[in-house]
Amino acid sequence: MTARGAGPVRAIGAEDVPTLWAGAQFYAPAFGEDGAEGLREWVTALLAEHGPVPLVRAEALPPDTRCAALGLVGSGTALAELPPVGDEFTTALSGIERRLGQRVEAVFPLAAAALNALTPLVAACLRGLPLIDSDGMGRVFPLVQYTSLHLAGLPVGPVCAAGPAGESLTVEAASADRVETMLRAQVHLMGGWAATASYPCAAAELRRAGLHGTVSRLLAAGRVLLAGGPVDRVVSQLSAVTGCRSVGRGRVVEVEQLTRPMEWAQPAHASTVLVAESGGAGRLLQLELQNDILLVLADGALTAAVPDVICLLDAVRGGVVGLDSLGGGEVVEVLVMPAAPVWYSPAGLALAGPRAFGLPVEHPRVAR
Amino acid sequence: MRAHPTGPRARLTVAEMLTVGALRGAEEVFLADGGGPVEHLVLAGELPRLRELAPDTVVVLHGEAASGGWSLASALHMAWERHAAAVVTPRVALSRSAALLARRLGITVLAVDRDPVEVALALAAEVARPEAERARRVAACAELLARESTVRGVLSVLNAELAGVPVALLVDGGLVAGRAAALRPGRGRTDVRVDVPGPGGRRWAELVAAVPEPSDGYAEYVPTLLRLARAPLLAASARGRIETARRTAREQAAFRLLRESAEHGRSVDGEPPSAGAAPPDREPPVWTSELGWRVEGVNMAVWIADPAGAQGSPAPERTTMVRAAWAERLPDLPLVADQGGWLSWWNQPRGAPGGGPPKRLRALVGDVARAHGAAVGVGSPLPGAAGLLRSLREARLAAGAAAADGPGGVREFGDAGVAAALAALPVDRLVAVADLVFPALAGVRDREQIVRTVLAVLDHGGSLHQAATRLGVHRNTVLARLKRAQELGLAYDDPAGRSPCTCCATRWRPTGRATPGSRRRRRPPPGRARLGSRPASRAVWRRGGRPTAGVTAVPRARPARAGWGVSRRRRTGAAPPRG
Repeated sequence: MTARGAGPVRAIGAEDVPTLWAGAQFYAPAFGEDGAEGLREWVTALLAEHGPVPLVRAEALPPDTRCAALGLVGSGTALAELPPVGDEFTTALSGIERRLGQRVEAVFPLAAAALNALTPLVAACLRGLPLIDSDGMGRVFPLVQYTSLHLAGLPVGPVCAAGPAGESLTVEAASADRVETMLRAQVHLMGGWAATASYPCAAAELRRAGLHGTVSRLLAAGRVLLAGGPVDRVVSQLSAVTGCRSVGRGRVVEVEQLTRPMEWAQPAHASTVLVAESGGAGRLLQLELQNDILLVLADGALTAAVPDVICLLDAVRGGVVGLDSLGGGEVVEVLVMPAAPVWYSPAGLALAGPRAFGLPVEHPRVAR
Repeated sequence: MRAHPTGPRARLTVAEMLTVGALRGAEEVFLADGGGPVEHLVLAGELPRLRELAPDTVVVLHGEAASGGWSLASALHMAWERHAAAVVTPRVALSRSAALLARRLGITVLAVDRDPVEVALALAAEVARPEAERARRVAACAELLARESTVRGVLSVLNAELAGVPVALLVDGGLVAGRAAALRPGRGRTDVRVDVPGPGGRRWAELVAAVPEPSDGYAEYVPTLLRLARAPLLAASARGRIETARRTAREQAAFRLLRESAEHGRSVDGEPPSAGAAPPDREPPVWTSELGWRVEGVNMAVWIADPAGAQGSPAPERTTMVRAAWAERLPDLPLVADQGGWLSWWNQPRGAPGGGPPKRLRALVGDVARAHGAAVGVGSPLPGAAGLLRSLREARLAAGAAAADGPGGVREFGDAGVAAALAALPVDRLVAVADLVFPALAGVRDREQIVRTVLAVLDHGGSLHQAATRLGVHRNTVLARLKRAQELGLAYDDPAGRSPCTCCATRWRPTGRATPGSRRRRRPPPGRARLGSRPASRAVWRRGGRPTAGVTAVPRARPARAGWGVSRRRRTGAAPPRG
């Protein structure tokens, strides 16, 4: 049963790709359309050719089922400029199988959001594998070690990466940070993006360390967004589906670049977006950006912070507003979704909290 | 504005700190209320430090707390929550969003370029001992004022010290130095005025400072500084007067020497040159160039007659004012006070194109003269020092003629003609003689009118028509006035008495200056009077007829009756007036 029917989602077919993509955008508003269109068409064609991919829960798999995370590391713009040949994801999967000496029997997304919500479907189609309804981030983080799997002690590597030029490599290091550093450097050489297979684990380990139901959650959110309607109703439905809350609605009055010092290891520039609240108390909502929306301050008071998922909704037309296209004068609804509970643990905040992004501020949950 | 105690022991306010303290020159990103007292100062490197803020604290951000973006926004919020007096941030951390948030929260935010730690240390000293800080500032400013030796210098110190408070010095209500902004009327500001005594102890000038409101920061400081500036101003004024007197005396002596040198050269050469001959050209003394004077070449003298009419040197105060105006408009030309006025000359190299003074020179000299109620004469261009002296004599005569044109009048000797000679006559003595010669005319109320009419007829060779046109009256009116002039003894048509009559009448003629009682009414020319401009009864009565009720006279030009001129010619034998 595909996503269009009622009840739990059992499989993802070609007709579910738009819904999946709408939900994937909602959980990763910072990422634009770069590379997405081609990938969507490719995935749709594969699903049409090979049939729907079964979506299974981790606990439904035998405990010793070998699983691996599939993802795309690098830039979406590079993906658009240097499209995949078609064998990158299977090459990455084969590489990790050779390194482990075992066949991978099920795949799951490295991050159930943005492009990485679609990439596991490619390998699942081509290899006839099921897709596990779990991931390691529950949103998108910029570095591969920012996962609940890493928090639970599962090793990131060996990581096998395959580029569009037919090159592949396997990275294995003592620490996850080192794996990220080496991988990022090689991806740059491989053409700006690479298909990766990482976090090889058993289904039992994934059940213990993964974030579950994150793929079907994308489909639920996507259905609400595609259905459209009055923005208030959309927000209400999204709140019911995802647990998000509205911080405020207002007009973008200022977009500033390079507004604070940055850690050199973090990609993208620090920016600030100022939204003047239209109703209510007329507050000034300040969004701090760097690859993603990291903080929301209302009149200078910290209201939300990473790892919260902070999303902007077009308050006039509906739909997610990408940060790439955000400009002065737009009227937006600022939504905040709680991340998985593991991210609010001390270890989770230490790994992916505000301080991990160079923001020496306590998360509002901790401050309270 | 919050009320708080004033006086030397009162707490400093943000406005005060901005005006004269370590925050002077800081950018006011947003100024909410500068009138509140500042009780504490906190240097915050991290945001948690702000959680301990007490009310009325000035927070200086640095380090992590001033890293910009969100940190500044958070700091503003925390400071606002705790009722801080102001937040001081490095300018590099400032952004448009921070400015908007400051306005939104209504909290004072100031941006500084200096190291925030240094600023905080200086502010801490100010906040801890406000009275000592005020005394230190006053002492520092007094030292700066004492260093100044000119009025402008003193005003510069005041305006620099009181940034944002324009200060001006007025003498007799006129701006002498400082900023004109201090005199412009404006809402939301208060004028602080302090009298400045002169050398004699009496009020000489006034210092005016326009203090913006709220004025708590300036309540004590501005009047104190203005009072401190009085002594340096007095010294500068006295020094200026001494300098002016010294310079005037030096230039007078120098010109006297130049004159004697030129006259001595003339006597050595033998006889004085005739009126048409060119004066001898001698090498000017070396010290003329040391004074900045150029005498070699061709000189055209300019004479500004002292409007006070004194024959001696003009008053030093008047010389100072004329010199200041002269230096502003004609800084390249010399100005020397001499007997009865001030002289200058326009020097050109030999062989330069001739002609009169440039229009611009005339206009500028006229401006200077007009401002001081004087008239200007310009001599002929003549070579050398001797030529300058002769040109000066011509300029003096021309200035006498220019006096008839009123203040600012400029005449060249070549154009003044005979009027220049008349202008040289001693006015007082001539008027006294005229009173004796024409006793009947001296006492009549319409003397001025009669004199003007007689002169107009004489100027136009006896033509009644032209005289009437010039005076703007009817020809018959001219005839009536001439008849009255004869009755009063002014025998304008007697050939023997015409010249003295002209001289006396010229001296009686009113100048262009408007004085009480000498106001002239401008009358329309004949035939152009407005209907009803004069009641018919009065016009008829003047002609000897009876008033006709309800009839309005319409003046118009009428041909002269030949009988009048004929009968007068027969009676007096004088040349007939030409109608």
